[in-house]
Amino acid sequence: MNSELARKLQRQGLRQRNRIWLNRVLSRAAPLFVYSALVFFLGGGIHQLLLPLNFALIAGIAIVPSLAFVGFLGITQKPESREGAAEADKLFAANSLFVSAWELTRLQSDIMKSDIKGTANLLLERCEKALPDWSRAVTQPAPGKLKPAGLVTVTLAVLGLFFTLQPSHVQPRQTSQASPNASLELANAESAVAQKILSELSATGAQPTPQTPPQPAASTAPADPPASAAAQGSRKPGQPAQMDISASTPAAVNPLPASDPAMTIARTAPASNPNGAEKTTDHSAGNEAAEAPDSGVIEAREYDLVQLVDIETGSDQRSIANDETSQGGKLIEPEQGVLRQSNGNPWRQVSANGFTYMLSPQQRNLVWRYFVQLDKIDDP
Amino acid sequence: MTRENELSEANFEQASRQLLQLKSTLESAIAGQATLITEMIITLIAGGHILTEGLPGLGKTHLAKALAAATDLDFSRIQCTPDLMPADITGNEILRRTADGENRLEFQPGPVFSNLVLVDEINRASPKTQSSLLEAMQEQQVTYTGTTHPLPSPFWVIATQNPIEIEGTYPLPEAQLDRFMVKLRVHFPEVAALLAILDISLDVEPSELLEPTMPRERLLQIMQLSREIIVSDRIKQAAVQLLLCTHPQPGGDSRHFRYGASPRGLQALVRTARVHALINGRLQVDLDDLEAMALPTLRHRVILTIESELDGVDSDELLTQLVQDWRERA
Repeated sequence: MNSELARKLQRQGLRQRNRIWLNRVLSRAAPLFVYSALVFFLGGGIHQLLLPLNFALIAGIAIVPSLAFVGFLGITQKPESREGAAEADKLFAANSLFVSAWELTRLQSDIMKSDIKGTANLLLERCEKALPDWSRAVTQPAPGKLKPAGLVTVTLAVLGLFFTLQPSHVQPRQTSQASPNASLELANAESAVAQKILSELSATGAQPTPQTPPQPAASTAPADPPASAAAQGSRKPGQPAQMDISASTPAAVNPLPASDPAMTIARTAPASNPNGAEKTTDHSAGNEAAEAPDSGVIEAREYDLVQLVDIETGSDQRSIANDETSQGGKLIEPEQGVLRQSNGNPWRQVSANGFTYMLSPQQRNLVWRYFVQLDKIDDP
Repeated sequence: MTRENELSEANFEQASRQLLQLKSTLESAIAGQATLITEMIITLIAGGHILTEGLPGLGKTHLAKALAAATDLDFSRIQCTPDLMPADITGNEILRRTADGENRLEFQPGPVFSNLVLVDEINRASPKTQSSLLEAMQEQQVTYTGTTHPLPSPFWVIATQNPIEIEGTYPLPEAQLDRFMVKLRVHFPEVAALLAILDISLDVEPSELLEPTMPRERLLQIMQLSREIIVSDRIKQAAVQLLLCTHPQPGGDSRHFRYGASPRGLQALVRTARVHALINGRLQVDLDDLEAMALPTLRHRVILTIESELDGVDSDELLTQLVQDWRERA
């Protein structure tokens, strides 16, 4: 028996088996394809008209169930090879010549194959003669037509995909409820922030052009923001300062009686524990102001460093401020000249538009937050 | 015939051509019954017995005689009547005086000892006589007083019966019906066939004038050759499915059946399908062959329910529908 013929027959049978397999899976998974197309279409519509959606979310909802079901069908609906041979026979209109030859070449063992004689041999010869015509029939399949339902499904899927991939024209809900004029909205927002800051400034007692700035005593100075923050211990690193924090905040007053040992600990901790003070310095209002690009920044940094030096002088030699390997020590070393010029006064003089203000750390913090808010409005 | 040396394309082509020639010879004697003639030749080559059913005067007996003449076979005819005895068919022992004056009982073979036996109007014979044919048809032998006498080979029985006469008839029991490989219905010929009958058989019996076109030895060779036709597993499975379709199931057309076809019917279906493939020049059985031979081989093996019979349901129509449904699924 010609082994080449056997290979060709098996190949044709497998090809038709795979074709049956694909058709079976696709036909049974067709409802899920419609589902995917609808999800894409609806998701795209929502994305464009109602609410900006994440593409990955829509794609996941649309595709993952279909893919899972197709995979399940692919495993469970796999046809047998003989079905492929029967289908090939039907396709070739071979009157069972193909399937008979296919069985002869497949089901018989090698020893029996070599013993094929008589009618079986004649049948294989006939099959070999007809095989070129069959191959031509397979290579020239009839053009398939897309049914109307399939056309609608594909159209929906493509449109949905297009809408989903396009950037959404929908603004976030809070801005969409405001005035439609964007520049007017921006001006309103800036003026609102300015009004808020000014009102808070007036509430904290900022005075224009004082000839002799008040020199509050160390004991009567406003609560030191880093120290008070360390004492409160309520703010976490990176958390912004709250707008309603003021000098009269009840948190500045220790509600515990003076005889309570806890009160003593709360008051003595910032001075006696340099580690705690240094940690809270990084997130205090004074430090945030130090990062702001105005004149108060440098002075505020001086203020912070003064506090560090003060702590360092009252601490043991293992303080983080003196640790050469830590960042705190590295920060201190280049600023030694500035530290010597510091007088320890937290009030700073700020000049703007011909006016000069004396600002406390809390007031400077408010000014810095004003500019932060302006930046957020400019670049949402 | 040694298969390895002699089987070639020419063998099959020649066999197919000779069978078609035999068919055309019979068609020259029997007008308007082409399908009946084809089915009869197929059954003959498949080695089965034939039961023909049709109205009187349609040429059933004439066809059997023509077949015997065209194939040069020994032919005998048994006209069944209610008083026909089994010994009248199988044979009897008679007393003979030998040359030396000794009297001895000798078996005198009956008309069943022939290659082709025409049992005319078989349903007129008594059940006892009908059953005497059972052993002859199935075992191809006759046992008389403890002695077994083999029948000549090949051996075929062609029985006829009239479907409209009820009085004085004894319907064949199912067991005996199953012995027949096919049951062929002789339909009324069309107008053109009726005119042809007038032309060819107005004054003479054409079957008596037929020359043998296929010698008996060649007939046996073709019978052997038909067994070489390949039946693939797919065809076997399809045949089994077709047989199971005739068994009663809730719903569908098969609910009208009380009993379905037997495994012997399955054998008959595939054997006749093989010959059908040979006549059509194929080396393998196809679904078309099964479809063509389904009705002749299965129609007398299904039994309708009493309700369906009272309702006048035609088993042929039911089977035709079943075969169509099966073909769509296959």
